[in-house]
Amino acid sequence: MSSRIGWRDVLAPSITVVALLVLWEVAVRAFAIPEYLLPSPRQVAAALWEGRGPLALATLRTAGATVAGFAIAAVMGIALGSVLTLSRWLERGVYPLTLLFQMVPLVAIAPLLAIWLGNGAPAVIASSAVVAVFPVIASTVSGLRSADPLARELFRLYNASRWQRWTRLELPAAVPSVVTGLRVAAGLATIGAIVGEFVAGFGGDVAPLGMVIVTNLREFHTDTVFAAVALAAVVGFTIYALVSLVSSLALARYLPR
Amino acid sequence: MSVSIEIRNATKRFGEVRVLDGISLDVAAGEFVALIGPSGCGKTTLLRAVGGLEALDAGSIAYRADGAATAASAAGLSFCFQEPRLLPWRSALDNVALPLELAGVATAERVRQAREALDRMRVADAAERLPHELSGGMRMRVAMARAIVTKPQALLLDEPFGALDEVTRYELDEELLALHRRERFTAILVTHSLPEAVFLADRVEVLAPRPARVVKTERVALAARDDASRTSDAFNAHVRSISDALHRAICGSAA
Repeated sequence: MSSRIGWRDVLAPSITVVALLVLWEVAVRAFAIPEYLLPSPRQVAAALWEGRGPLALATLRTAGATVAGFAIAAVMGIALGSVLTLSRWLERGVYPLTLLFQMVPLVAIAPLLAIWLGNGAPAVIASSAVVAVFPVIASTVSGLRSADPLARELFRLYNASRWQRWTRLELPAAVPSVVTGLRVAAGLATIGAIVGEFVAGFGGDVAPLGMVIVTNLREFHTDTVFAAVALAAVVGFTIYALVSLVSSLALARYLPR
Repeated sequence: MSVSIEIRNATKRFGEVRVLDGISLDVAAGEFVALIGPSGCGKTTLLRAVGGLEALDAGSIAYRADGAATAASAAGLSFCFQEPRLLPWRSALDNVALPLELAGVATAERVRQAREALDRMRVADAAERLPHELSGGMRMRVAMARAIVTKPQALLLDEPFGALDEVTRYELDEELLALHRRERFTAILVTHSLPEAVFLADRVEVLAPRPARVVKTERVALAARDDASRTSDAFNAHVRSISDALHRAICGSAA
């Protein structure tokens, strides 16, 4: 397959990352920047190693909440998007509202979720799902709409039922669009989980990454904050990579157009 | 085993434009009729009306099978468009099986019939391939296979080979001719190609535009229809005769 990633695709960004880390290390030492303002990569690495036990558990908790939020967003988004296209009236009346909801900043909603669902996993998962669901809805709606009008006519010619048209034409035609939406949702689900943990992460016996960030910020343990942020990025990247992998397999039938 | 089609006073407007204005046309069972005319003369609209894709404002279209009137939906009509209209995520076989699938035919049976249709269009080896892996000519063959998989009584062809290169077009013309000889369905072909119309049709109807009307009916009498006959005197005489009528139709409507 032509879309396979070659070693150059891995090497080039790796070189960039290493170069940036070296530059950062050099800059911190050269300008003698205090650790609480900007720790050097070595100090972050040290904090990562020292706190490895709790940080690993924190990462797992955040990853769990993100996967749960993403899964809920994927299922709900595809279902809601499909329902919206069932009738033109629903699509006109409700779809613009979902776009509007998307504009409401999550940091404003997350405290409300904490009030409604209490501290702990449910509020964090809900926060993750709430941000991730909208791109899935939007991509499902536009994907279902994207079916070739000529193919629609063909289905009309064959007297296809609404259900047949949905399963055999609109849903398959929507796959590339839905996959794009799911990729966006994977990144947003991580953000949603972390923001959720800022306001509702202090239930349970293990502090998730968002909580680690908040508490260490207060105590100026900036190196640990950086470590937690890096781990949060790893969580987001891993989920994104998994979704991309699965979707490229699903898309094999559709490429190249 | 095929249907005859009677078009009476077919009238269709798109906004202010009268595309069809009381046109009448008969197509006998098993007959192959070509409609030829300048762009926008309403021949495609007429064909779509026959296929039930376009509702007429006035007039009627009647279908008869073995002398008995039938509804359009029961007449066994099948369409072949200029674009193959294959679903890109389905293999050739699954595309051909689609009309049967939508009609509720069991899997084993529809796969058998789809393979047979691909075989008849001589693209059996493309069965498992996706549309984008096929050449333009092969895609069209698959689309034709899908059109005949339902064993239609009448085939409605809307410039089916218009987007293909000349050589492929000749090949598919011969394929279509052979198919029609074997199965004797009724056929209406909309085309811009005069040689194609003469090569395939028993009768060529030349239409003038706005509103569409028949300005000439050319009955094609050829001793044989094969590659050699495409350059025969009789063939050329038919093409000339239609060309003259077409020319008069265009100039007449411009005046």
